[in-house]
Amino acid sequence: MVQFYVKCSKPFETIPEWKVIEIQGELNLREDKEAKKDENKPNEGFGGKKFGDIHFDESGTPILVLGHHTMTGKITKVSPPYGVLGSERNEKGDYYVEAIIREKIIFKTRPKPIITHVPTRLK
Amino acid sequence: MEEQDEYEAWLAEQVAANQPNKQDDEFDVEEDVFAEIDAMEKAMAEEEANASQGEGDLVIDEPAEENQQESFTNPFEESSADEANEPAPESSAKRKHSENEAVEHAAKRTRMDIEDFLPKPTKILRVPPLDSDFVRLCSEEGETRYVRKVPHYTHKIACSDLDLGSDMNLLGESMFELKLKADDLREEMEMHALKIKSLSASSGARSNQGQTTEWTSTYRAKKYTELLSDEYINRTIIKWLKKWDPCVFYKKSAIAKKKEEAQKKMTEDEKKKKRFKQAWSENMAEEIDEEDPLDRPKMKILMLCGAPGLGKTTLAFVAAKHCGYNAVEMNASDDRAGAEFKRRVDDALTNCSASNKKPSCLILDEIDGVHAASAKFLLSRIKAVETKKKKGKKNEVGPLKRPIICICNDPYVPALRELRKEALIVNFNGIGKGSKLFSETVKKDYFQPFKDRSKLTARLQEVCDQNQVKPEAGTLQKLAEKSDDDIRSCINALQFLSMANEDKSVSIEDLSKCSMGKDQQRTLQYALKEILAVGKNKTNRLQNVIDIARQYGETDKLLSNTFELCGEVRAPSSMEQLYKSRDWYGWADQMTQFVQKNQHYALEAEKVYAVAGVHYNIAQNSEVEGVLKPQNVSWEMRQKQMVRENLLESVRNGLNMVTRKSFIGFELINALPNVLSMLEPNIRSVNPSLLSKGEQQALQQCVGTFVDFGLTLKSVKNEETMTHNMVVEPPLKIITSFPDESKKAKRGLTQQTKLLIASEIEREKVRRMQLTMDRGITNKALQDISNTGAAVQKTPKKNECLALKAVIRPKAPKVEEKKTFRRGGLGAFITKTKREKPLPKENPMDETVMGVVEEPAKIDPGVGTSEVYFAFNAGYSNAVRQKITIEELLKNI
Repeated sequence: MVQFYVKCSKPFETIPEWKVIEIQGELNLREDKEAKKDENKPNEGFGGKKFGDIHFDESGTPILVLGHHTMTGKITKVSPPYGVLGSERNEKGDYYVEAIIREKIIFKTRPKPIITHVPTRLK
Repeated sequence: MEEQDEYEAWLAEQVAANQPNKQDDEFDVEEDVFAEIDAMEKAMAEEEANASQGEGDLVIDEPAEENQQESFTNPFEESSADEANEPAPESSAKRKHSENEAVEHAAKRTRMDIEDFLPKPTKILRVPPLDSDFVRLCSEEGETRYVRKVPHYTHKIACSDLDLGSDMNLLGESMFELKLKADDLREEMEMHALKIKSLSASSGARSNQGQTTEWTSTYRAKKYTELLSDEYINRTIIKWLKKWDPCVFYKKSAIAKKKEEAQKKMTEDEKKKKRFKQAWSENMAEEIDEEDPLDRPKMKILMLCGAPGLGKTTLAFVAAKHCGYNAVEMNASDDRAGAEFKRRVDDALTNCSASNKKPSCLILDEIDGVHAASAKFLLSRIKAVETKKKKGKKNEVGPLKRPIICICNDPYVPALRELRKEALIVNFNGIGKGSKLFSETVKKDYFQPFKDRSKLTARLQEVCDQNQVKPEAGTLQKLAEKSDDDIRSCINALQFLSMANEDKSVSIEDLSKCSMGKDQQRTLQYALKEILAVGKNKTNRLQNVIDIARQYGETDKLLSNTFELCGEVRAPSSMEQLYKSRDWYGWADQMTQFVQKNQHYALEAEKVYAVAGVHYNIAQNSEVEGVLKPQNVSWEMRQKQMVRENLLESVRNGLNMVTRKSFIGFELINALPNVLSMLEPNIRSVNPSLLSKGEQQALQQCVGTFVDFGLTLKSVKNEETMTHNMVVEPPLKIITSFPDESKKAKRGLTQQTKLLIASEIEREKVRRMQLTMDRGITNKALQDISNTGAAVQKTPKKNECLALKAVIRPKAPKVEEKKTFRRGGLGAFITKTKREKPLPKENPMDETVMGVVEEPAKIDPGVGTSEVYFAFNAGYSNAVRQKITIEELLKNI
């Protein structure tokens, strides 16, 4: 078991609290699909890509809009809480606490498709 | 006259009806009845009784008036009963006095003219008579008696003395006079009938029938042996019908049996020899489709064709009957279109009549007049194959199992083209026509029937004998010749001529007067030859030519043809004759103009005289040899002109608006040849990217011309060389160049260049269309297009998020989407709808774990087209959850 010290650079109270989003399924990139055909193109990954919106209705239920899907989830407590660590990338390999996660948002319902184009004759 | 006849008939009836009545009166006399009446009416005055001329005891005179009334006006029975009361007292008084004053009576009797007119006795009954009409009488005391009602005119006449001078006569004339008249009339009619009888008796037994029926139907062949047509044809048809036996009557044909036996015996060598022999000897009728599961003949239908009146229909009927079929005929008078035709054909082919258990054979008469759709249906019936019957399908038709015989005059009607392939065609041809034109080939042709003319004349002689017609020697031969062996018209003519003459003789002279009522028109070929040559009988040229022209019918066509041909047939001997003939043409033209202008179509018939006039002037003495090519130059030219005019019109309509403007007041046709040369730019046939600047310009110009004039290059397949060729469409060359010129076309553009131009044309068209469309969009849109760059720069913001509103309200304006799509060419999608307010920064939910959107340059492409999409894993979450170690996570960092 590796043991290492975690520094707390800021006062504990000021450490931001993050939330985890847990979704039941996979996130895919459209580009990946295209990339499969063209092997020269490198796989970019999700880095920096916006994947969706979370909204909260009046009762606080989260709504996730992801791609052409929308789903409702719920907020649950994470116990014990997680700490999000960042490394300082120096020789020592020190880590510091970036954030603390006490709650997570779980989306495990079947997503509903969003239909943007409705054939005119159905209207 | 009719009324008189009726009256007479009625009279006779009445006389007959009254006979028994008279007898009754004589036999049973009811004394007591009269006694009673006597008692009742004793006080009646005697003078009245004396005035009336009673006859014998127990006799009542019924007054004429009453009788008349009753016989003609029945509704007034009650009223007439009152009147009838009066005779009763009269009679009683009479009876009394008859004994005392017999002398007086005798004197009175002398006044009577004839014994027949004496009044008849009438009984008075207590009960109403059952056997006849009666009149009710009522006495003053209220007692009822009945008198028989006898409408008889002799009574009236008996009383004519009384009636004289009185106004009581209801008829305008007295009955007596009427009767006399009726007698006269009857006599006259009898005389007339006698006359007719004597006439008809002298004219023989058949003539009575002849008045009502045509000889053609009377003397139609009813048995196979009576057929006049060529034996070979008859046999062919019978053979063909017999081929159906295995299918229709379920018995093996003799040929099939023979073949089977022979095959067993045959060795290989023999087979080879036989095969050759078979191929050589068998004709079409004997061919059996061996693959056919139903043993049907190869040719499923029989087509009899030939000129009218040769006995095709008769032959079909006789042959069908001979082979044991029930002939079902459908001809032109039946409804032969659409569903009705299908129904009838199916009925005929699948059912049989209740009274006649024979299988039916469908005979389609005059099938050349049938619709193409009906012919197609027939074909489908013929080709129908046996299929396994399914329960669901009701309309499924089985394969053809009954023979069909089609009869037509012209087998080359377009509607029958497909049918012809499936048919065994048997040609009926008259001897005259065949031998004249193809005397050599006829003998070789198997299906060319040779009708023996002696056979026909023998039959005609038979007809004449039976009708006591006395034809002159040679008349029948001539008749057959004149009618082209048309049996029907021969017999018709015979009947017609024999009725014209009292003594039923038919002479050759009569024959020449009578124009043959032939159904078929003379061919143009025949008519032209007759008109252009003087011919054999020079005696009656004028009439002959006019007859021919009338028979042919289309005088205009004749005239134009002779006009074209007269130079070809022979050189005119003198200019004057030619000039005269032109005069006649001019006259005919004037006639046509007049007729069409004033619509006096009756005058159209007079044009045949122009034909006669032309004939007199240009006919040559020797017979015209060779086949005359029908000329219809003027018609052809008119057609060509129409084609070209239509073409020009379509080019004019296809013009671009701007181009069309420049052709106002300027003939388009003058410009077209130059346009065509403009369509062939001087371009090397290389890759378009390799073209020089000048060439590109030329190409652009050429394409522009194409589009301006609404022309295209169309790929046309050349049937001969099997290559595709690009051709200007519409085909301007027809207009711009002479026919010979267009044939030796210059070496135009290469195929490749043409293809290039064609594709450029399409591109240019789209470009122009877009231009006009863009022009149609509002100014705002235009502005937007020009401002695209700025708009794009404005929109991107930090924390770009999807427009949920746009998601929830799918009614996002369409136009806007389109616009944005066009701008999409820049690679971005811009939502114009208002964004939700960016969530406050303090809100921790603004940032997410997986991907924090930080880069403003990335613009979300919208809900449907977002970069990231989600694939849901169905199932319980703990089942599908994957365990990821920290190590794996750290790898990515």
